Amino acid sequence: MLLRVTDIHKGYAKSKGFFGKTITPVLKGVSLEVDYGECVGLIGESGSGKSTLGKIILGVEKPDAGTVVFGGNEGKKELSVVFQDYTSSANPRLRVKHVLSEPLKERAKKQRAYLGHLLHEVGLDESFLERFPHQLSGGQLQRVCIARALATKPKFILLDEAVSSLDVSVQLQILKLLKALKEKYRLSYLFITHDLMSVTYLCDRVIFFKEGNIVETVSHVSALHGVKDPYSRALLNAVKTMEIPDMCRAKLCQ
Amino acid sequence: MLHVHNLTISARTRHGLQPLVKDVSFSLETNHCLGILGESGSGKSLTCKALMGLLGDEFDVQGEVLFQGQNLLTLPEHKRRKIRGKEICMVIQNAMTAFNPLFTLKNQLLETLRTHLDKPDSMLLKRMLEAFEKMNLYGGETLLLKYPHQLSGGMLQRVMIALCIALNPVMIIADEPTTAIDVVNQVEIIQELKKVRDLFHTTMIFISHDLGVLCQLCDTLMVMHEGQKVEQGSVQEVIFAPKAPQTQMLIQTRLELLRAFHACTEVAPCS
Repeated sequence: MLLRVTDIHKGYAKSKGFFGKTITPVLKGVSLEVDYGECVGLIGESGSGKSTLGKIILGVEKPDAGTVVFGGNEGKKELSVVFQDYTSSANPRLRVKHVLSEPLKERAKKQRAYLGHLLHEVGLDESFLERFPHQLSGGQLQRVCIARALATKPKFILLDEAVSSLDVSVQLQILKLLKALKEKYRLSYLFITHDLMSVTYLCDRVIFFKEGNIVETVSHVSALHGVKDPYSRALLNAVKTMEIPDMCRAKLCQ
Repeated sequence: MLHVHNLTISARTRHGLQPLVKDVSFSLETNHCLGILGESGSGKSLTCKALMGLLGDEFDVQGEVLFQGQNLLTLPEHKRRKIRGKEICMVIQNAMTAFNPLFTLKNQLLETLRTHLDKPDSMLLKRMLEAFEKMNLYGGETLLLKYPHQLSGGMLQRVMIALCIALNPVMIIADEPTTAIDVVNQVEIIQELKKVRDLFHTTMIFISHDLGVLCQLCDTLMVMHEGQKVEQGSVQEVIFAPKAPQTQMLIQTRLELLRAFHACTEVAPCS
């Protein structure tokens, strides 16, 4: 098993008047596993604590209780992350080449060929190396962020709403790219999102998350129609009515 | 009802005028809903802001916008202000930032209503509460005393739609009202807007990059790409027989995602 998260608890303190604090629990005993080369979709509404879980897996936040075991040991972590907000996750004062080389060691930073190779991997070319983030479109900048995540040759990439703020057509391009990269490098993804559509396109396994708990796990996306939990059902039906009006259904089956 | 003729919007830059929207024309009949589909940066929001007269001095707007026979673009500001809000209402994308966080909803809603309707506060409040009820927002009295941060994004969006109804406008412009909220709430917002159309026969312009949403509400679709209108027709025409390559691309990508979704969520897809 590549990543094993066991019984994570996390709460945030909320001040209550002058004295005393109450702890608001955000995660209430979450356990999940991600295998080599597997993509797991974690779906839940905003405020359900899914991003907090992501931060704990990355090691940015410490859990109150529970363990995160990566590749069998708790020390070295070959993981990377791509966030939702591409504008704030790339320093506006750095050129693309500096953005890409940020996670690299000093010697590797000088290897322009490697940086060019990274850009090729995400469907861009060397001409982008000298540009600044504001000179790129949203989709291009998100590709740069994915290239940066690939720079350290990770085994696992956490995708925190990585396509949510992009247009539908660009979303599909990025999802295709992620799928191709996954096959090529045998990457594992934990895909955190509120969008069930992109999950069905990319993921193997789906976890429904609500109010700090896992409410249901679907072992394969093709069995998604069999979900039982009321929350997952409601979500599924909402997306169905939203995305496939009767008129479009005919087009779909053409 | 609304005729837009050769609308051209340019940004004033140091190097002269840079055109952003070029020669867009369309017209809208009473009680119709027009959907504007386009990727980000295609100029769809800009077009609607120009209709509302919300663009600042840094933009140059040319062309003609005839609303009930009046050209909005040449109308003096004070007259225009009366139309904006009273006759044409706008529902914007981010309800969270549309309200002032420092005041209660009552305060802000009354302020808007007072500007447009010449009636005592008690009457206005009654009107607001009625609108809340029509939007399935119960407990209106307590709702009014809340601050924006105490409500969810979906809730605030519904309050905003209720405010529109209270003003009883002839036309509503909805600029991506469902983009920033989660799916379960999205469905509800769409239902509310449908209801508005059925109950009040309001004319509507609905902007989105999401074909699914537009299909649910609109009669006609207009597709924009890089500041130009590339296609217009009834929803059926645009979906089943798209002519412009940009439209075909938009529909193809949408279908590809939908197929994956459809295959996973139906017991027997396409049977």
